[in-house]
Amino acid sequence: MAKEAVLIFKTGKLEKKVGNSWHELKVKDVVTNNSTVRTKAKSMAIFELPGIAKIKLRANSVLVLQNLEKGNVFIELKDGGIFSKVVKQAPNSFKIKASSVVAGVRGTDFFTSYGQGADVWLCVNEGKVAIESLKTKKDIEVKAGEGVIMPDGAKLTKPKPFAWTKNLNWNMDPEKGEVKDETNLNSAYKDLLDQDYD
Amino acid sequence: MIKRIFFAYLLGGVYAIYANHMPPSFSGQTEFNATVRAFYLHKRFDHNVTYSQSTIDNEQPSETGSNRSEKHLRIGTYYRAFKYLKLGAFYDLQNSMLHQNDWIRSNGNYFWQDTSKRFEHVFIADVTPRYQLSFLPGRNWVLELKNRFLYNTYNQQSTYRVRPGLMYVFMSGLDPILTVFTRVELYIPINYGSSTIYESWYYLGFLYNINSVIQIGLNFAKKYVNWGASDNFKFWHPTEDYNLTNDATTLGLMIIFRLQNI
Repeated sequence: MAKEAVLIFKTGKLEKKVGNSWHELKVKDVVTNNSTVRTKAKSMAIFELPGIAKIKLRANSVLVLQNLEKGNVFIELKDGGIFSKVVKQAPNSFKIKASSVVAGVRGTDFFTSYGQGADVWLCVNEGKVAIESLKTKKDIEVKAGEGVIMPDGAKLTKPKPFAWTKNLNWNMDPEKGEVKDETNLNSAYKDLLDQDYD
Repeated sequence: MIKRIFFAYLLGGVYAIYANHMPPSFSGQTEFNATVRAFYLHKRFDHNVTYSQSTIDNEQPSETGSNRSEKHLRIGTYYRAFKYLKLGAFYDLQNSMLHQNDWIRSNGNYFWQDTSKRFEHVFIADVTPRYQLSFLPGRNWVLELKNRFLYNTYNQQSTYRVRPGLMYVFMSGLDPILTVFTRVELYIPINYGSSTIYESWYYLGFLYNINSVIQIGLNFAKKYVNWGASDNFKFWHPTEDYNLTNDATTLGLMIIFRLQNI
């Protein structure tokens, strides 16, 4: 399969970095290895890696597509959040890095995002994801319906269901309905200002 | 000569009656407080009920001669008007409270009267802005400035209480496990008292989350109370005045129950 990703859907503004400047992409444009793309506010985009996966970027996301070769896909999320729907394939042949966390997947459907500050979130819709913390060198497995968070560079929490993940829009097919996801990750956090003590 | 001796004796007797007409000040006592509080969070409202009891070494001389046990039963609610602002309204039923006008004279003796059978009704309005200081290391710092306006129907006294406070919440993942706080509380009398600050408290406290519903806490406080001359004293001694400060250390135990239906 070609080492490329094809833009199959977008709303708003999607740009690719060329040198020190940003160029807007349109549907059917192709990006190759070592491409950096970003969505602006109120925008989203869906890329297809033929035979490998579809990835959906939320608004204000920055993604580095370091390697798009089948069997060795490596993507780095620099900001924002992405949904990944991966065709079943060899273990760890599709990896996403966010901060100091690397998620290695087989066939699965999962969501990776930055939350408040430098927090990294990951939750799984289908299948399983193996996550490695580059800081602690520990691996954990996250199953469908579960999520983890790495708060601000600290260690990963234990996988468990989070109520807020039920609001995520996993749909990547515009013909099946709305594809935009605007879930507010702040709802995942305890509101410390709402705690009364006396 | 005999008349002089008799007159001196009479004056001595009069002096003996009035020697203790001002209350003595005291310092260094320890008081204990236990509080049980329940919150029910529903949308923007945080309804709550509190029962609190404090054991206080009674101010002497007292009518009863024994310790005083102050009790509060408070109900009310907070409303989250804005992200950074809560408004509250409460009714507080109080028992065994002591006010500066409880220093009275009876049968020639001065003492703090027995208030154990007296119930007082206090209405409270609360305005509390809070702000999370996310820019500080650790992120979970919360600054609070509690403002309370109290009206006591028993003696028509109005008080403004202001309490700046800083807390830090230790988290395990996203779940709070321990809150540490420090506060300063000042009671400013609006229509009574002879000092700008009637009472002040300096707190350090801890609240531990047993789970998402139950918290237990411990707090230490230093309390100062400024007593001015009581009305009864001024009636009998119109040309005299007194102002004294009592202080005590308070050890408080608290348990909080949190329920929610959002």
